[in-house]
Amino acid sequence: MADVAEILKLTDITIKFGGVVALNGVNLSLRENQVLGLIGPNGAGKTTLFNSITGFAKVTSGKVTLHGEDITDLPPYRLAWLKISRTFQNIRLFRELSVMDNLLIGDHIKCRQKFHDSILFTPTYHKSENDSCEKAKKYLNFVGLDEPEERKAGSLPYGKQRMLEIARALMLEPKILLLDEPAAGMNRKEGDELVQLIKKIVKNGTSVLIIEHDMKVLMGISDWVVVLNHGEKIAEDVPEKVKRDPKVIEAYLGKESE
Amino acid sequence: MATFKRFLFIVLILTFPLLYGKFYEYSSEFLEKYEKINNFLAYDYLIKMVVQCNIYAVLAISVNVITGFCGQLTLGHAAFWAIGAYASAIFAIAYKLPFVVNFAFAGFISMFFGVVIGIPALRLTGDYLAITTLAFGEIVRLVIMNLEITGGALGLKDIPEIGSWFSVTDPKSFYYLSVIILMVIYYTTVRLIKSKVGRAFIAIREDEIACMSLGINISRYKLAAFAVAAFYAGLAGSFYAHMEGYIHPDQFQFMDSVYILAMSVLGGLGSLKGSILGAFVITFLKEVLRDFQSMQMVIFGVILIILITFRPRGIFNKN
Repeated sequence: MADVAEILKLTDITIKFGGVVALNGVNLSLRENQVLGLIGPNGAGKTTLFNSITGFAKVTSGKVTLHGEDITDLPPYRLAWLKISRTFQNIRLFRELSVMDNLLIGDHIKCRQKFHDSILFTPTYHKSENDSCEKAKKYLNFVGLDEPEERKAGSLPYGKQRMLEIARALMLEPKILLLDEPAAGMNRKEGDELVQLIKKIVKNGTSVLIIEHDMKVLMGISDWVVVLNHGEKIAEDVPEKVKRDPKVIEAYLGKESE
Repeated sequence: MATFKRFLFIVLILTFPLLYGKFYEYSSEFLEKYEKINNFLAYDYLIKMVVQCNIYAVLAISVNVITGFCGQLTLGHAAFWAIGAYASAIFAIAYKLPFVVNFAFAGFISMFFGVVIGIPALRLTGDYLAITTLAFGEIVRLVIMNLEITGGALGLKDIPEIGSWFSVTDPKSFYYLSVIILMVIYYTTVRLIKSKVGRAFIAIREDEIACMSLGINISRYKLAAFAVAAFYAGLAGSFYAHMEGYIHPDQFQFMDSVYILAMSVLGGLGSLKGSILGAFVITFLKEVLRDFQSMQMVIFGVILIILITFRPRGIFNKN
């Protein structure tokens, strides 16, 4: 797959929290329009790996590069400007705010208005607000949410909150989208919708890095699967092969006793 | 209908001194029998009170920007008020420039200190930030108390008047100026909240980590919130100093910061109308309870507890 450009590359990422080694020399690369699945038992370091990419966890050693540029120690908000967007395992919506406001805040970095535009009602203000609203509606449609825009985000059912969080992440028009257990708490139907949605996102030119426990969802969409256990990469391959890898089965089910 | 109501409201505000003057004229005969009430409702006195309320309303709005919208608890807001008042007074006495210049100068000086105190706020949250701002408030007061340029504990007197047509004997002019200042600040803040900046403030209050993932530079916006709030408080301080003509450090104590915070909490954090209402309620309450002297704070506390029990999220915030 050398012909497809490699956009995100992790080299020898090690993260230590005090004496605990959360990640130990993990290498990973994400190619354009690829869906990379990340699996592993609880505490394997999957979310920490996400945090190392998005700047939320301090990398002890190793390097994260985006298009060959070092982005290891950038603060989290800078990553959004570099078109890396993410969702969270425990949904982090602005629960007290409306669906629309959630999305408008997601448009923060694209929104071209200054403080004085708002006070003087300049055309720039109207234009930027309209553009943001249009865009928000577009992405609401895109993820298939038909809730009223004024509804409080925290009052949505769980599955829809997940969808809204994805829509908010998409407002950044990311090149790389990191989804942390998007199917958690979703029923079968919502899970299927999620698979379709992720396929659509990839078609629009976004690479997706996904952590998921729901194997049906994960195996259905991933082009490549990476397995982590105790902070180390134990296997990586296409989904069909990973499923049969003895090391992976061992990590999940334990070693067969003789 | 809404526009008509707003129009009516503005007309009412503008004609209030006139209407109240007429009302007082007609009712004075009746009121003379009750000396206490008469004193309280006396024209000059009441208008002055409303001016005081307007100043507090500006301060409550400014606290609301930091605490209500940006979610950072501040307990030292009287310091910005004091800095504005002293900056304006010292500048006016030294250079004898028109009021507008002093007014703007006070705002910017206060804004500068807002950014300075905002820097620790970037690392602290909740109670820790509250303690830091509280300390800041006390430090400012003590520094003012001990500097020569601020007149020490004696305070500053002979602060130039706002203009020749503003005199202590006629509070009407102060009323109009304070209303204009409050309206401009109210409008500016409403627009601020409805802009991208305001959305970022609210987002920071709701969830900082989500903000970062969306590309919002939290540090920058927290500093901005402190800068804006301090700017407003500085303006309020400047107006106050020139109106009173005399300021001293004891006017800007810790309790004043608490009162200002109480106003915005009572009115409803995150509601600007609430801040104005809260300022009026608490300022008048304080004045009414003045006669009870030592019991004043007790009664004040009880009333606050009752109000907050029935309206835990402020008068203007439902549910």
